Amino acid sequence: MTSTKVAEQPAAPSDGGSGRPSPLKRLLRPNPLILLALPIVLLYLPRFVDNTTLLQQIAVATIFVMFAASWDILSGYTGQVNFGHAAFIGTGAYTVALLSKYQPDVSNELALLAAVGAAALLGLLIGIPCLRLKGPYLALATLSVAGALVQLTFIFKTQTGGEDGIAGVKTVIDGSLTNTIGEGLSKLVLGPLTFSGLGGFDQYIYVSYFVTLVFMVVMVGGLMLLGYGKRGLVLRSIQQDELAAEAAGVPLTRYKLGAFVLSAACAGLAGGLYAQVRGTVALDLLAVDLSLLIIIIAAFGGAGSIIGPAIGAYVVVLLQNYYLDRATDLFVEHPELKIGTFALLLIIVLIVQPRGIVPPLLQRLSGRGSATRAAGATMVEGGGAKP
Amino acid sequence: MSVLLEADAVTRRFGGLTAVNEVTFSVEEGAAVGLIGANGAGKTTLFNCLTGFDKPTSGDVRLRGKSLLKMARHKVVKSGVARTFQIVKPFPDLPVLANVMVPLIAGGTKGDLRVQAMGVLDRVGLAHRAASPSSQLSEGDLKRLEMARALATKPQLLLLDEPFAGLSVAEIGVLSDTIRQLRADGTTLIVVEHKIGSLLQLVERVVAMDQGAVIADGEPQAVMRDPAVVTAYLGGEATTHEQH
Repeated sequence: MTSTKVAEQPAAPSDGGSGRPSPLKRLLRPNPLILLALPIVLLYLPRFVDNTTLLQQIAVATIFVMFAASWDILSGYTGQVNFGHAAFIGTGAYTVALLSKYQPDVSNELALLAAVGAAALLGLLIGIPCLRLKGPYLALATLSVAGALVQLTFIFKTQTGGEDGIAGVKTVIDGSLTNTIGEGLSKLVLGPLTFSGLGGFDQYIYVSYFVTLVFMVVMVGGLMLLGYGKRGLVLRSIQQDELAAEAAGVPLTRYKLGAFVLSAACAGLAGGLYAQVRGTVALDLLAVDLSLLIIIIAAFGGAGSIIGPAIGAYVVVLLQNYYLDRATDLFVEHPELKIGTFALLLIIVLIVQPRGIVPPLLQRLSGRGSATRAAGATMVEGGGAKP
Repeated sequence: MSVLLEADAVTRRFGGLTAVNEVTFSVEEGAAVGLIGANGAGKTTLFNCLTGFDKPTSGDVRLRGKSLLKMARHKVVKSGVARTFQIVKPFPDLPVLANVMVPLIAGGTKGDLRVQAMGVLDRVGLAHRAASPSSQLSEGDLKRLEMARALATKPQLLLLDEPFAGLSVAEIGVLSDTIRQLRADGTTLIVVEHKIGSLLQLVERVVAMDQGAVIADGEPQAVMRDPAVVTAYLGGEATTHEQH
């Protein structure tokens, strides 16, 4: 009988002018121009950088952007911290590799769809029992699944190659869609003459570079639209307080499970694409190290913002795979020191900036860094989560 | 007036402890009912059973004759039962406005959600804090925010769990005015409250509980004079019920 009255909207209030840094700032939708600048810079980067090793590492980092963003939509947004994200990545990668090995007639595009489906199904199967788990119990459960998948690769060693993995996976050049995207953008950016001068391995690097960039932009863009929209607001409410969200009428199971499946599907796609970029799959794609690295990336960049983990992935992966090796031989001789280095770096970052480095940086670049405009004011003015 | 809510022999046991024992009562549409009892009397457990946050061991809870027991919590909310919590549960990292937008989104509300959320905040007198982080609100404003979030679900029945707990006299006065306005708008209310004096100014009926059972049910003054209530709830000092 009683229903909420739609009253005339009072004037937009101020933010209270507290002057203190507010966690609400991560709610602010980053300036779209800044968001567009990043892919445009990446698109034209090969025109100015002819270091193919660096471009190759950027392509790998771009895939890690997808790993981290897909982790973030589940763990950063709903608070269900997944310590076994590699399970979804590995499922996607191995699906593509097994299809390439046993069903070579299956197109690369169909293989990627299969990777998405397999990872999403795994996400559903894990997500249902995990609905009732929280904190360390959820962490252990998700960690265990990734561990179980590693064991499965040994049980089916004939098919999966065990420790050796699977080599000879059809690459992005073998896929009509991916190759068209890669070649098209290569020609657009580098020019036809330049491109015709490339061959073999270099061409593969450029195609990989542009294909991963396109997939990343679509995936991260889609996740950001979701995360900064009204569904994202509901996901955040679940992270804040599940009971209160239920009291507000939020169908908890639907949202939590939906986030699990979406996260898994995106990770599966990224994993499958990684297999097509590398041409091989191995146990590193299911390993605990990978899951931990993704968490480090997300926390470093700023979990719960999508863009934070995305930028964090570029910083961490390029440091790890490219710059640290050039800084000292120590990391070349002891690569295991890298993750320890990043864990230390993360601790320092979290002490200085508990919400990661990217969201506060973007607020400043967007001119919203001074605490005069908190997220609430932006929402009242019409930003943030819109209907 | 038609019956809105029925609690039918609701019992809730935790092992050997019977927290709610065969509680039966009904609430008519548009009524405002106070639920009182000493600490441990079973009020909050009953409250949880009525709102789907706990399942009774036996008995039934019906809204307009339809059982709520097999419904998921969000469906209980969708059917028209909303609640607040004794210890407020804001979404602390979200602005006040976003706190109220969440139930609107969850309820599939069409139209401009911001305008509607501002309307709800206006209704509880919190529109001027819409942009503030909810973590910066006073206790009194947090109680009003909880009320706004509950109202945004468009409830037929609103259950308030100790709305005056932790508030100053001035804040109680402001919140009382808000609750009176809700009553005037026709919202059916069940209010659990220890501050009897403030409660009695808001309700026309009181249900008293002791050791999980209803010991008195009727007009406030009659219930407060009931010997069982005096003994169980007021410790035999019938004249001190306005002490809060």
